[in-house]
Amino acid sequence: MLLIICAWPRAPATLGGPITETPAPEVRVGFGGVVKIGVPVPVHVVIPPLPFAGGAELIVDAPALGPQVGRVVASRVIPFQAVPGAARAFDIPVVVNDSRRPLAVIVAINGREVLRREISIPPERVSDRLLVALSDEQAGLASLRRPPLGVVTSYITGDTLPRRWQEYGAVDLLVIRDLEAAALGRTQQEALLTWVRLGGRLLLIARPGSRLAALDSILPAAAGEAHAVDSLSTLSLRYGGAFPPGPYPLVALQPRPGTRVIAQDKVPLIVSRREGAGKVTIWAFDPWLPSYLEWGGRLRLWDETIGAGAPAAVDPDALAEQLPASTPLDPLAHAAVGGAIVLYIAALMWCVRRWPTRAGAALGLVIVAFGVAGFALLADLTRARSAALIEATVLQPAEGTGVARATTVASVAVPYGGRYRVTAPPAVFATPVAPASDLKAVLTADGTVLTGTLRAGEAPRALLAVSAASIVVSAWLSADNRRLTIDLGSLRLQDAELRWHDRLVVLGDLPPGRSVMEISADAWAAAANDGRTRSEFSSHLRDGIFRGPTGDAILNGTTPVLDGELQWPAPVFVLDGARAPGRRLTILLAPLDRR
Amino acid sequence: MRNPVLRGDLRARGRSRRLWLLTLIFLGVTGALVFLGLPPELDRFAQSQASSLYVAVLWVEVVLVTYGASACLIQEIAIEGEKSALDLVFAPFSPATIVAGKSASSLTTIVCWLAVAAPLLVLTTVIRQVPWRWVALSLATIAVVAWGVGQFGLLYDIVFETEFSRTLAHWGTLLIIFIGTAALPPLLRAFNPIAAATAAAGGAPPLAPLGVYAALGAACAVGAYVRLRALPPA
Repeated sequence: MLLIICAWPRAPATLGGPITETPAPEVRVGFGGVVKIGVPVPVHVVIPPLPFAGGAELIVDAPALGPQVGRVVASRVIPFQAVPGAARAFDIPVVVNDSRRPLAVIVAINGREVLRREISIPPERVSDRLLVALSDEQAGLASLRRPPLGVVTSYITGDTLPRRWQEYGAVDLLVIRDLEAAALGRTQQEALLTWVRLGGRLLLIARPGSRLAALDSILPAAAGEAHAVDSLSTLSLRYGGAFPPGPYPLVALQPRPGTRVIAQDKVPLIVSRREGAGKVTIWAFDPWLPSYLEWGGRLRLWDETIGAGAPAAVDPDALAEQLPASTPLDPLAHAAVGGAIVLYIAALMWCVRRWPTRAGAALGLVIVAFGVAGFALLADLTRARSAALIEATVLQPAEGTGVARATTVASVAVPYGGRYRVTAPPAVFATPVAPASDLKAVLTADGTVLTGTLRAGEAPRALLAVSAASIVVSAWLSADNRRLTIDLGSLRLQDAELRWHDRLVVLGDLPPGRSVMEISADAWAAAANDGRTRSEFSSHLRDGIFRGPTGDAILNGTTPVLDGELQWPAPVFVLDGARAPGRRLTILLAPLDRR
Repeated sequence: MRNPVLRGDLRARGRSRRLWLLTLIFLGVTGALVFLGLPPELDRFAQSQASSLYVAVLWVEVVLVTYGASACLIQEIAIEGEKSALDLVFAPFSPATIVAGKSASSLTTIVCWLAVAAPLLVLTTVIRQVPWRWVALSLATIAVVAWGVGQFGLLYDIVFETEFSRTLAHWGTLLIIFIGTAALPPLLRAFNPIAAATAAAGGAPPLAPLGVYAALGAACAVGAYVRLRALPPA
């Protein structure tokens, strides 16, 4: 009987759960529930009408594997004002680092937890390669999951597309087949365009009469009317496999200049074009149709379209390792403290010695009171002058688009320990480089506020921000690699150099505007022996870029890369209450075009 | 301040050059420690990172103040114009007045020392964002421990007739309290004044040590009173 009583399931209220009977929030994680580890994914939360009012917080606790001992949970918070009886919906980007534990979505009002839902992510919903399709027919791509592709496919609708371009980080290929133009909001359009320009891959399935004015600027071809061909031998020759007997329905495509076309008897089948660092492709045929689903070469075509992933970006961990580990104490603050101590002791002891009376004792008390107030102020000042933020940004422009991927790594040092508060602008995705439980990211209208605590003597906390920056910089090499043209617009580049594999060419400081240089064959020197005298910070940072895990991918491309220190006006992170100047460096990292 | 012994002691201590010098040394040592401990890197001196230099300042304070309090009462640091408890027996003061006055003057001196060093402690605690409650708890702990140990000085001043035996007993007691208790099993090590100050510095009230040192101080005062009463009247 005792065993039955002990084993009897108890009501949720007695389990220490939420104290309300309000239904749990509706939560949508990732793309149709599929996530990629370590990159931001969208989380959409609909909070049901609540009977409470007051200051509320939506908290998403994502489990993570971090350097800290014990279970690490990375918290992202959206504060809002709860109104009784009103439902609320929120989008919040979250990085899932450990899918073995559930993601917790919590609603707290006036500091009290009122709703909680835990979302488990099954292993089959975690993917290294993710294809996201907007299609009314939610079947037909299951075979991509099998080796050698190993691609997880997820079907979504247009209204669930991310509103921040950074949330596409998990997506290797976005396929648009059925999309109502009206379903796509302006922020979603901008996010999609930015993602493509900064390295995303987009595939459009041409449908008769489909019009996507929002994406017109990046489309490599215009779609026309439906027609059919009797043979698709070009595709069979290129990708293998035999097609079932025709005819094969197609949509007429009118390729735009500068595109790559695969045609069957001058009828375009596949048209593609590079858009910045990304790629946009249109297929004239519908791969969901039976004749294409039965084609044996389709997996090779999908594999080629998905590609090898996003272009090589700098590794935040490698950059963070290069940031200075400590901030030296300001000598002025040191001297001020020493002087104040001497002055205090001298004044007090002189007063006590000079007037050994009750009045002297009272004056001594006044000196002590002033001492307490003065030393408290001095301590605050010294503390503020020691807390500092060091920030390094790497800008990777997407050729011809006027936009660059900005990867910023910052370190917050609070040498005496205590709380810190760092703010990043609203369009930036900001997060700690290494997940930490003692750091909270609050998403407000003014930006992302990262707050945490560092113990005295603890190493600085490294933060990461990923954003898109408007920048008009272009650089290209002549076909024979002898003539370099760089257009920096209004910017100035210091300590510029060309790097390719293990060789480099020193270019020096480059003025704003267009520069044309002749690069002779013997100008290339071994990168290890450059003997340069640039700043230590700059040297370390470039080491982090080129010797980090992604360094080989950056250096071993088909063309050299241009790098240098850029005079960039605005900081990304701002540390509240810091009076130390801090340090900031921006590195331009531009792969050269060949013209 | 109706106690004539307390009034007389405070007047003598306020004018004493020797006590002034002792206070100057105390402030100088504390100030030097605060200044030299300013670079934040020095906080890494402890493996745990939990301690910091503000705890070291408290250690110095508990040692200096405790020694100073007991040394003044036992006449090891002879204050000009201050009479010992035995000398006061020959004055028209009751033993209770003498013991209460001596105890109160010792406590007042302790509080004064802690007060004059408070700005230096504020500098090192505010800079490290140590909660005020912890600082106040630490100062209270030091005051109680110093007063309790100081009362040994009052008792020894009455019990031991020769200066040598007084000094020997005083230093023996200090060694037992500061070093002997450190060698006790972990549970009893909390009675070490430095361990008690460290606990208070971390926000944990060292109730047992505080109770023991307050009780020891009270017992010594009672012992001093009994001994004074047993002396033949002048």
